[in-house]
Amino acid sequence: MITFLLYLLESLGRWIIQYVHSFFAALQLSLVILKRGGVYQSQHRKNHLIQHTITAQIIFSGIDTLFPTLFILSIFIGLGVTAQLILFLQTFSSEAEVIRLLTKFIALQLSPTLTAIILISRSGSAITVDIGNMVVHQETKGLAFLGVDPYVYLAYPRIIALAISQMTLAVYVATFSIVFGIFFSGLLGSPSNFKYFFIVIDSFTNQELFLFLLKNLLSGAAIAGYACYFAFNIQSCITEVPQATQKAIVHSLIVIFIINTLFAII
Amino acid sequence: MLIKAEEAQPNENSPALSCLLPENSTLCFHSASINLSLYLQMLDKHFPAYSGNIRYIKPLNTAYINHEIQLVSWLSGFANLTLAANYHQQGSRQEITERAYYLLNYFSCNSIHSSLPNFISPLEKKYFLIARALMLEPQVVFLDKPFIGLNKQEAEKLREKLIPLANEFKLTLITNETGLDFIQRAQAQIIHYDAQKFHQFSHWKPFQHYLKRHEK
Repeated sequence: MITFLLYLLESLGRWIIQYVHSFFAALQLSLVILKRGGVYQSQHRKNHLIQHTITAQIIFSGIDTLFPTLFILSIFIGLGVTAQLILFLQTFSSEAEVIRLLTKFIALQLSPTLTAIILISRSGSAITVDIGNMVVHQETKGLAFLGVDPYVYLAYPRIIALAISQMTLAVYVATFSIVFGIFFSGLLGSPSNFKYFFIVIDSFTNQELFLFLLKNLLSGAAIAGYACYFAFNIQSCITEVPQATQKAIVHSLIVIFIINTLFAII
Repeated sequence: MLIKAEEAQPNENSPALSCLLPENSTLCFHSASINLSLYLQMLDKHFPAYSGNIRYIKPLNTAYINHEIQLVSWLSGFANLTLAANYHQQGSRQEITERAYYLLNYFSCNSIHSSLPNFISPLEKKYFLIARALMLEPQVVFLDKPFIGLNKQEAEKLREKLIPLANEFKLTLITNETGLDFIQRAQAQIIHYDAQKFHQFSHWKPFQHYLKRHEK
């Protein structure tokens, strides 16, 4: 029994050490990518190559994800979570407390988390597979021989695009979740619930909004950072691509929850 | 003269190379017994020489192509061609496009410029790889085993494109093609490895005499 417990502790410890190592390695790589990309863009202001790549990635990660995936998700969050919370809390809580829960929980915590999960499964995995296949087939080596920095051409636009997409999509999901929630609570309960439309608008402080945007920027960058880190670390075997994808997804999920927790404490 | 190698070794087990690499010509490394790829990579400064010295007489723009390198699979042939030139802003967009079409014309790839790399033949991929490197107007092109993966007919077609390449684009083409036919037809200079030593020949005739003498 004791041996088994010790084995469990040892495995957990080893996993934590590996995770922390991956976290700092991915963080270092992300900072290097952002620095190189920034230097390239400052030296080539008239070059639209990177901007086109960022735009294409925003279209794929942001616009294509918004409708119908996140839109339908927002409807279900509104109906299944927000409306139910409003109807339940109204019986014993004041108006201010209901609004506080809507803003703190639905808008500032739940919506960004679910948006990040969708983005991880949709874009994070795609980035790892895309870049991973390029590494396995020596396409990145070919780019390097031409003086094209793979970090600048492949990774930098994806980190910027995912940060912008996560921030924008989280705003959309939070808004739609609240709006649909209030709407359904008005339909299922009393039409007087529609008053929350007007009250919720003034319920966010500037600090909360700023931290919300910052949290989502960091989350998006973290998702892309992990995807790129595990993709570029693939050696030469095609079977490493799905393994790297799985690692990127798991590590991204954990860091998203860590970021959310840290910002919730703040 | 562009590059001077003085007793340069890629590693401790490889023989030392001393040679002068000229401007605007074709030069072939020839050997059946040692890995010449290391020497091409050393001359292209992929790694420092283990011993000896490699001197670039003036700053050079070089290109290196081997059989491992692939085109970007999600870009069309034309987009692959213009990628590096756009990245380095090597001229205006119109100039880059014109140069790309000139190279497509030279390699007779106009009809497939919009195809993805997975839908073109190995020979056409080689054409695009070489054309992609030429877009950056290099002064020296290192072609490491260019005929690997090609059948006899495809290799012959590639030879026909490579033979006039140095004159057409005013560059030095350095390859480790081991076929004597290519060396003769290209009127290339030769660096031949034999008896643990490199011998440089400025022309096919002296090299041919050397081979005949040593065959006996």
